Amino acid sequence: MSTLAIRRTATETPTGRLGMWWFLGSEVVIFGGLVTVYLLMRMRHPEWSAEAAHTMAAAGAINTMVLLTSSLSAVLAHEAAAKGDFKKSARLLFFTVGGGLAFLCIKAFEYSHEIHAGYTPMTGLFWSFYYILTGLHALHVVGGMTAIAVVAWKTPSQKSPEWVENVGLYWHLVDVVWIFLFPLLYLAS
Amino acid sequence: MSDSHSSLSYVQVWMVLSVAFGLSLVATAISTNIWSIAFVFLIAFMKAWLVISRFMHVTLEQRSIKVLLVGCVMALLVLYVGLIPDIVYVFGGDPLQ
Repeated sequence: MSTLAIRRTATETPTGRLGMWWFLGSEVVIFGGLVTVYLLMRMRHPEWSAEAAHTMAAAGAINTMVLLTSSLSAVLAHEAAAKGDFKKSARLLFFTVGGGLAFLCIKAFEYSHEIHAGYTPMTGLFWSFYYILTGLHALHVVGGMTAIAVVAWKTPSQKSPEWVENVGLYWHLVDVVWIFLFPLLYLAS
Repeated sequence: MSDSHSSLSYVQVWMVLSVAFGLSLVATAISTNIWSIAFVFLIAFMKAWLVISRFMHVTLEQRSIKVLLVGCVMALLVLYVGLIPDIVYVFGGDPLQ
């Protein structure tokens, strides 16, 4: 008979959370690598400031508030689950999913506006970076929404605070990445 | 998760994050010189630390988790420094200009 270890004795950390931190560490390297290359290229291309001025800073600002608010609901969901109130936790998780959906709708509006204005990934190197960085981030938002929706659906019956914490950790990372992408792509013009 | 992190403190953190974000918008609206850009990124680092420490509770994690995260950031620094010669080779000059 074999069972899965739920706690690593060497680190005293639940296995699920340890795995999530390893995953988040790899995400830091993925996004950090792209941002590093963007920064190095940006320093060589001061003319990108004019390109960045064509991004929709107002929409990006609204999206920043949307993600910050959904991060709050994610951590409140974890708190509710830790206290045993799994119905409240599920409601807060669904609110977080709604935040992700709002983020994607605003992002789609931005993309539509920019593409119609002639700014596509082929327009230049700045726009290639813009679409790669924001597109990869949007894919992570979709992944996070999916995972959170599944956990929110199962939380009232599974009653697992660890699941709520782990998807919350992932969502906070998505928020942290956007905290840096917004000034890099929208404000530093 | 520590009991010291109450609902109120999470909401307070969110309010601080919102005010900080508003300040960064005001800074870029007033001016886009190097100092306002530096201020905006200082605010961004502060916001990121607030989310990581108060929402992700990284300060309450085991040392192994902290070492893991610091290792990832160090890997990025190595990448940054390692890429500078390549940028100089392709574009010439000082990439930090």
